[in-house]
Amino acid sequence: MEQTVQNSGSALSKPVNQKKQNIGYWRKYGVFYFMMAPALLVLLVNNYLPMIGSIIAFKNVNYQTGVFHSPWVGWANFKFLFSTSDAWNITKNTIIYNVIFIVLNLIIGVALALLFNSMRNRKLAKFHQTMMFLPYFLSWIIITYLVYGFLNPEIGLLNKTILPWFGVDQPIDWYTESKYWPYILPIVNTWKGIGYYAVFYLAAIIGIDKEYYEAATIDGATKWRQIRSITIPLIRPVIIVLSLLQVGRIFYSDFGLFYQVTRNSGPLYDTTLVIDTYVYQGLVVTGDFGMSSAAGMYQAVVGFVVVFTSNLIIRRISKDDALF
Amino acid sequence: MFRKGSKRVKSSTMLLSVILLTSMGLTACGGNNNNSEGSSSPSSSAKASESASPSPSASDSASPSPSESASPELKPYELKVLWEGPAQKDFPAIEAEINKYLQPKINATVKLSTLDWGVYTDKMPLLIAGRTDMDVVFTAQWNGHANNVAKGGYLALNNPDLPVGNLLEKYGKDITASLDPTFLEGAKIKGFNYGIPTNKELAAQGGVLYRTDIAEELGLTEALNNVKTVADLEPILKTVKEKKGSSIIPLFMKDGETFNTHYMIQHDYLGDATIDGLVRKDGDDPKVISKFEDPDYMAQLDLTRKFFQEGLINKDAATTTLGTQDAMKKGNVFMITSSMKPGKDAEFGNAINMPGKIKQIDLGPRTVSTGETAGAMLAISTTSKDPARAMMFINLLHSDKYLNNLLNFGIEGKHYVKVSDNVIKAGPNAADYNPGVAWELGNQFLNYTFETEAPDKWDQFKKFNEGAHKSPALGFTFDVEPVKSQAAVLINIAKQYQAALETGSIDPKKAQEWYDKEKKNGLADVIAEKQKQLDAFLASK
Repeated sequence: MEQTVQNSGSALSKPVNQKKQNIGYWRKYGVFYFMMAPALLVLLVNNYLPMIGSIIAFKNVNYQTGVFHSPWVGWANFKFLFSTSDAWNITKNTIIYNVIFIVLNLIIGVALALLFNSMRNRKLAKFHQTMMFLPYFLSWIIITYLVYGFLNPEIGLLNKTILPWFGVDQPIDWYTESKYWPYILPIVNTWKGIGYYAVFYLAAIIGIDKEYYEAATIDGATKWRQIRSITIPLIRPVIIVLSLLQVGRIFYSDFGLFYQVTRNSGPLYDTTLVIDTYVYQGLVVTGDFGMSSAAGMYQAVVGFVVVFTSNLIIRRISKDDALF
Repeated sequence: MFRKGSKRVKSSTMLLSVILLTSMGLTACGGNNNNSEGSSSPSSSAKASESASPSPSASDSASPSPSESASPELKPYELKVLWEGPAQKDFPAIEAEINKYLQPKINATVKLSTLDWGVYTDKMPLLIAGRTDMDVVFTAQWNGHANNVAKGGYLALNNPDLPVGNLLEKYGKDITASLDPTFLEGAKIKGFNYGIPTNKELAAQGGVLYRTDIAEELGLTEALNNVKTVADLEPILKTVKEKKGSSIIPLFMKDGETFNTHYMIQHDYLGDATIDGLVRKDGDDPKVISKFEDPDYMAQLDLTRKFFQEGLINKDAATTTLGTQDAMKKGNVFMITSSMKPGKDAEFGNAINMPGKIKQIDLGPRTVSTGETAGAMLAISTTSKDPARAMMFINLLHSDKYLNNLLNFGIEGKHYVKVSDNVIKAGPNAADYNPGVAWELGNQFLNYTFETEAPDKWDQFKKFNEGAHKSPALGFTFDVEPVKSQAAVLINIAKQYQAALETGSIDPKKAQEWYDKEKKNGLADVIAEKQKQLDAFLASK
């Protein structure tokens, strides 16, 4: 879409003697622009207009005088992000969890999609698919209480029922022991989100022409071989798009997961504090919009750079698969 | 050929649709994120445009302020009143009753609303940022007053240079006449009052509240009457645990409701208590120290840890979000910590529908600091279209006995019935209107007392206020602006340790780790800045 915006821009700036040609262009393509207009407008209003607000990151906002009349403060709002001894830990947590999530979503998502696809009974397949998708629609608050039901130190299912089965009688205080959370968080996140990704991959797999498989079967290819040589290569574009979109948000983290599910328990911070929760935490007391915008801008810029870099790398390796 | 072509079209459209769908999905996620992080008030975006327009107070000055002295004509005006606490079912009925009384007096009507406990602190900055229409707003030092003032949320009430003039002087004569001047003096920020303190107890004291019915059942009344220190509570709580088992939590704690907040240890944090750097309220030394330099604090951590390990404190204390009042209301809690004042037990018992079943034990000395003078105030929002009228309303709450009691206790015969002239008991519809926040609204010395309370409650209040030790930093509030990056970092560090340590959930040895981390992250800067501002304040006095 950005490309078309650029095109229209260059079309308008052409010299006057090409006016006639322009009229021809508009007669030919005008209807498409017309069709695109509503979506373009929404994009402009929702995604581009708010970018003006980025200047808040460089201001000391006073509500009474308004954003535009507040004093400029340069880079001061960014300072608190880097001046903490935890800066490295927070960045590390954010990125490592996101990498784990991306990898898990990819591997388990594709695997589930393949399983759904090879189920003979369509009704049963649909049923399983829906069941896997359901957690995606639950709010993090509800999931927080589900998790709490398992992990409550006194009456939780794990301490009360499951651990004794394995002979562990000493109850574990889940909300003060940080070492368990690098496992708990990916499990919870995958459980919630996997149905969503599986549906995407399933849609891509269903779209593959059946003739490839027929030909492969005639040639005597095994199921495994078919998956490796037909399915995966053909859904590669979807895999790349989905992963790239996630990579673009590698500096963001799911606030609900890291703030609610951990019950924002302080002793867990070594393994659960991420950029978003750190920013929220530090600013909820002072309520400083400038500093939180600075954090948001930092995340957005880094995400932008990461997406461009990874796209560049993909283009180097295989030009056809690059996103743009 | 054709087939190949169609296939390509198919896969590329599919790809496109996937991109569109995911981007929709992801933006939806992003939107959710924003919601959960902040702007749950839908009005904030809609009202954003207003913030660019000139400040409302300026437009007020343009409209003639008719009520200069004896002006007969005030235009009808609706006052939007907001306080902290649970919403009440009978708001419409109370509004109608207040309007009947208020219209002839100042030709105003009211619209009542509340923000629930705990929600207020997060939500008020959003309402202010969204330029939400409000007139009279409850505010307090413990729920972000200084920050909201710094961000231009509340009007200065005694600044003659403002377009609206010195509101307190013009329309608040009854307030200055009845309110102890220490209140207004102590609640000032940079020389001005941004809220009118409630006329109530001035001193602060910590203590515990407990259930008398359980104490009697277990024969603990005698022992409880002899409690002098926190350590004395241990054998009592142990007995409760032994005899009641898991059906009763002996002592309920949560983040901020422990032995170590301002209740038991006399710390004056000069502003927000999550930012380290304090003076002792019960001393006279204006030297700012870290809390880790106070041996009392460390001793109290050890004691709390002991309680926790003996199972006397709820296991989820560090993470629970249940308020102590709600915990008591549930009926499975024996004791909580609380701030104290005369008649606190009876007031609390009424608020949780257990009248007469709660008793208090005062622990520690009585002191006064800025936090107490600014512990409950009514402010006027900068979005108010008629600040003068708002001030008249606050003035009435401080002086008009009928209005004050109507707002606090509801309608006579319905929400309360009179026992004698100034003593009341719950009426048939008490459950529909029982805000329980008389200390937020105006002048407590005008309040009726419940029959379960001491009839001389207000005399006790006066005695309580007399002879309390004044903090060396009384009247001073720390301006965090020069060190706000360091403060944001320190707050994060405090969140990591404070709740867990002060509820006894983790080993007190961790306190050293906390201290080291604070020192590494600019504690010295913050303490130096606090000291500098405090010294300047003391020098100017």
